[in-house]
Amino acid sequence: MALPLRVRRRRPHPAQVSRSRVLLPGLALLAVLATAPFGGLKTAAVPPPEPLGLGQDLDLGPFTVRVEQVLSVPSVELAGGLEIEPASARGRLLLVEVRARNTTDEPQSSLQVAKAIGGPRAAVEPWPGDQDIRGDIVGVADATRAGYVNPGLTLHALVIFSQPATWTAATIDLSLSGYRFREDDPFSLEPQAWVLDDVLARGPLPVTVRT
Amino acid sequence: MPSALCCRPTSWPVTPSSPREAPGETVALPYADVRLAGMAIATDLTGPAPSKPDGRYLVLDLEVTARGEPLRGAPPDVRDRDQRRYAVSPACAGSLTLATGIPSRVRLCVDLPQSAFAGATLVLGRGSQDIEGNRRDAVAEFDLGLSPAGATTLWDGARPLSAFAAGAIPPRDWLGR
Repeated sequence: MALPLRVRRRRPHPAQVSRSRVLLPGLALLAVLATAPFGGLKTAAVPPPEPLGLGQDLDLGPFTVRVEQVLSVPSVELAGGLEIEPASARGRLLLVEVRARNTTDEPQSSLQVAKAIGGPRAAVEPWPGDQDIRGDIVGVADATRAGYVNPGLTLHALVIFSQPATWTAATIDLSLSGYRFREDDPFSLEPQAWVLDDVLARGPLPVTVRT
Repeated sequence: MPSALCCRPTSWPVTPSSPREAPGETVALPYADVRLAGMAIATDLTGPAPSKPDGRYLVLDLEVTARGEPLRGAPPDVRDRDQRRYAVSPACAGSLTLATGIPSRVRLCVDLPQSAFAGATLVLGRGSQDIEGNRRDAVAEFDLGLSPAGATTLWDGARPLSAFAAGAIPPRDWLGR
């Protein structure tokens, strides 16, 4: 009976990793680290925000937005008699009047417009029960809360923030942030979504106070 | 006149199937019978919760009966001739949510710019665009039959209509016959 043929296969042992497997990645790492002081590891520089003015059209991504005016009022009455009041005693409401046109091929949430608006933290306060600052968005035409805006349509709305009594400035340094379109996202269940991005424009805007 | 391109077969891949149905004819989906009873353009919606559109409302009155089991939350949408998608307004029926076997009148209101009316199509299915759409399911597509001249005529004749969602008893200005 013939003895079974034994084939000896040479397999790499973890302790016997070849020299090339160590040196090449190490050289690559050194090259990356060497370029770091020159910006090798930094993302591309973000351009500074452009000046923000009233009546200026800004392309945020899903919407082109124009700020018409900024108002400070004691309260806002919605359709049906519901009233929006400030969160704190003697506070007021900060209203940012906007026109926002959906420039995409799909319905877009008007909340994206509200979320894009920023400003000094001292000028606003959370609504009762909220931890974060959130703008409420109401349509001017029918005084109802705005929802989705269909393609090609322009929403005329007020973005409403609660303003504490301690803030009484005549101008506000408002900012508008843009959105970038996320085609694929392996880490979430939201591919093809607009994601809030950097500030596109910032500037002092006058606040009209109405009693 | 509106007509129905109904219904895509349930096998994959999904393709449009049958020739155009006669206007106003009931379309038999596996899960519902649907009839487009009437159509108009509204300047605004009246009632306890009035609503004004950013463009004008395309108002579509449907007669729908769920078959076999309750029909849950299928949000319809309108496509223009370039396949842009327009969501229905919550001022009327936001989705088709119906009990089994009970004929219902459903009003859909879609806020559209004037350019979107000509060549518009109503798409009804059970799936959500945000999940997987209507993949592998039967879908009804109603070609609303609006030519550019027809759309302009409807646009110029727009008037206020009632905000209505769904129910067995339609509003007084029901567009169906």
